[in-house]
Amino acid sequence: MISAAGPDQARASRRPSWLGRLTWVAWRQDRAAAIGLALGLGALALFIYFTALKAHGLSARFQDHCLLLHSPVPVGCATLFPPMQGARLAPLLAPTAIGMFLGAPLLAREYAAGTTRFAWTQGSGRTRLVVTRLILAALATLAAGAGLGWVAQWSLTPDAKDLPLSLAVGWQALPFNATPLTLAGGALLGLAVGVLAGAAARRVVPAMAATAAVGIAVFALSYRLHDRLLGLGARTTRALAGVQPWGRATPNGLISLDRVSGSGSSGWPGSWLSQGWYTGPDGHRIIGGRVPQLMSMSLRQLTGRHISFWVSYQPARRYELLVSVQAGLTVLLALILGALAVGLVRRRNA
Amino acid sequence: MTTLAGAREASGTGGWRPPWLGRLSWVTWRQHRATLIGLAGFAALIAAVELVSGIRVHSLWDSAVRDGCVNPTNWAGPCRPLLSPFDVGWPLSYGYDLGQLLALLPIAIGMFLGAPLLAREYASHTTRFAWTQGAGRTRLTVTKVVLLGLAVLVVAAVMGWLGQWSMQPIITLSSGGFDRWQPGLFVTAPVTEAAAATLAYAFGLLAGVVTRRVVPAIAATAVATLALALLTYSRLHYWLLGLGLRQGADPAMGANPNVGYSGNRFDLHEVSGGRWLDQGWYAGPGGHRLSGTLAGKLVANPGLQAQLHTTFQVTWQPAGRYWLFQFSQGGAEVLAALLLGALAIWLVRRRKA
Repeated sequence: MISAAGPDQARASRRPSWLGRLTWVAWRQDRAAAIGLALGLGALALFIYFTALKAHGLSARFQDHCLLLHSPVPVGCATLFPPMQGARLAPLLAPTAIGMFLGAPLLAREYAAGTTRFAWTQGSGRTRLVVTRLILAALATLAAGAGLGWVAQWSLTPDAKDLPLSLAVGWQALPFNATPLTLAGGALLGLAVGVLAGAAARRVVPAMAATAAVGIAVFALSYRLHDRLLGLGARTTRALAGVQPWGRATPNGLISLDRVSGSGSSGWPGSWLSQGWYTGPDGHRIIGGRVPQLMSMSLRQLTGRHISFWVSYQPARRYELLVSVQAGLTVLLALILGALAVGLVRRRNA
Repeated sequence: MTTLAGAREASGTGGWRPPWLGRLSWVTWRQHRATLIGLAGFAALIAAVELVSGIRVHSLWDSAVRDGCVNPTNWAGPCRPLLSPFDVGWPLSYGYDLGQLLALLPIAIGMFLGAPLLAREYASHTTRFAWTQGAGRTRLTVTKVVLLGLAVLVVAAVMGWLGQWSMQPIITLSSGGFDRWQPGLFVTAPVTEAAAATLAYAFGLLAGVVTRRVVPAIAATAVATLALALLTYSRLHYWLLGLGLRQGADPAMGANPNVGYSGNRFDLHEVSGGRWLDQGWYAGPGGHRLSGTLAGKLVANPGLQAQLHTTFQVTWQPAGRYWLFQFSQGGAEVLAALLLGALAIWLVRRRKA
């Protein structure tokens, strides 16, 4: 197939263009991985879909027995809302699996088997062949990631307005990474990491292992950096009523709130409350051991002592913007890694 | 190396030389040293996390003991800053992260040690040479599989033991958030962690023999081990701990069963006084289970329990059965691993190189 692609292109105008022929070559070479991955991701999507259906059936009972009778919401009620499982699995599994099973072997297998010596010396050229394969794999990856993200988001959406604050999760790290945009970006990054690892290692198993390690590390890092992202351009306001300073206090007086503001609890429904802090009568932030004591006081007690509670938050309407920022950064990083892999291919001997 | 091993073995002339086991061990090391070094690095990383965090946690615990903040636990005064990390601080994050890290270890062993072990030899056709030497394919394969399996067993057990050691103070002070009965800790204890790693390794081995190709074998192992880990965590664990339950009334739990319920029963799945509580339900004066609707009213208004003469019944596992269940789960997994390994060896013997 490959040897026919070069000469044919020059002289046979009635035949398909080089792009069509290289697409066919790419499909023939990677069809097993593509089909296997499609089946795996399809199974994951079905798992998310069916657990979401189960949750819809549970919705009435969930609300009757978990929301109305208890405050705070019982721990066990979370187990009645299984779509969280899907939203947890998709962002970690999909990019890592795509990187390991599609990205890493894409070039590493050809290097290891020595077929590059034949394939890359044909008329179409190694760069065009590799770039075509990478672009096709990237497009398929973007589509798969976006589709899986859509299913994950759908599984979380239907009853979100009725959920307790602790389960209204759109802003939290894992579901945030499972939107169509962010998951597509993450999947593309996974593919790029795998391709680069394969081009660098030139062996399949080490490339897969490296991709797995990097994929998990990137996932953990994105989880850690999530708070930073949501802190970009955050607004600050004084809490008037209803914001319980529930969270972890740090020695510098900042309290991680990490929750969504509800319609009944504040003036910014749907906003992401990032951090909170207390200020004394002089307007300075209170730090140290007093903070945990203040956290157990009511708003009336605080007002009596001229202590204010401030929060930093992201307005609800910025959600799509921040999702796009994260997805854009991930895609940019993936493009850089992909370009690096192509650079390695061009620079090294076949 | 293989040629020499076989020839020496066959000739029977080297009495002063090491036995065949030593030579085949050397062959095994030479063939898989890159993988072993990589996995050892991963295990060392986990061990370092466990060791450093364990020392920090035990240091906090020692301070709390010195200041009289534990036994019984005292959250007031100067004890609050000492104990608060166990309530809302980094030890809890460490506990969750550790569970995930230790869950990854068996999967990594299955994917990167078990699956390529024979699949790579099949794929590169080196079996045609290696398995026709004097040592014989069965002895060579069994030696490799057993030696690496023993290494997997020991390393995973050590990782599990370090994890349990580092979690001890957190288990004691985390107000029930962590306990050795909970699935996250139960399945990563030394016995169960070692058994799960051995099972994943055996599955990878079998997948490699069946597919004879590296990437499909790794993919099959990834899917199977991940599915088994999730199934064990979310279903099999609770099924296992539901065997041979004891039953009795628990009025304190009935006053505030802070869990969701399904139909007319509560899935408690928590620890109380060292016992594993499985399920609970409100029973009427005649001992029959009350309906979900009535149970909902009793939860909302505990005062009704006395008026209606109801009791809250729970089923539980005694604390003393913990090791019985550990060895039951571990034993079942090791047995399954042995069966899968034997099947792989049988396939190796039956098929052409």
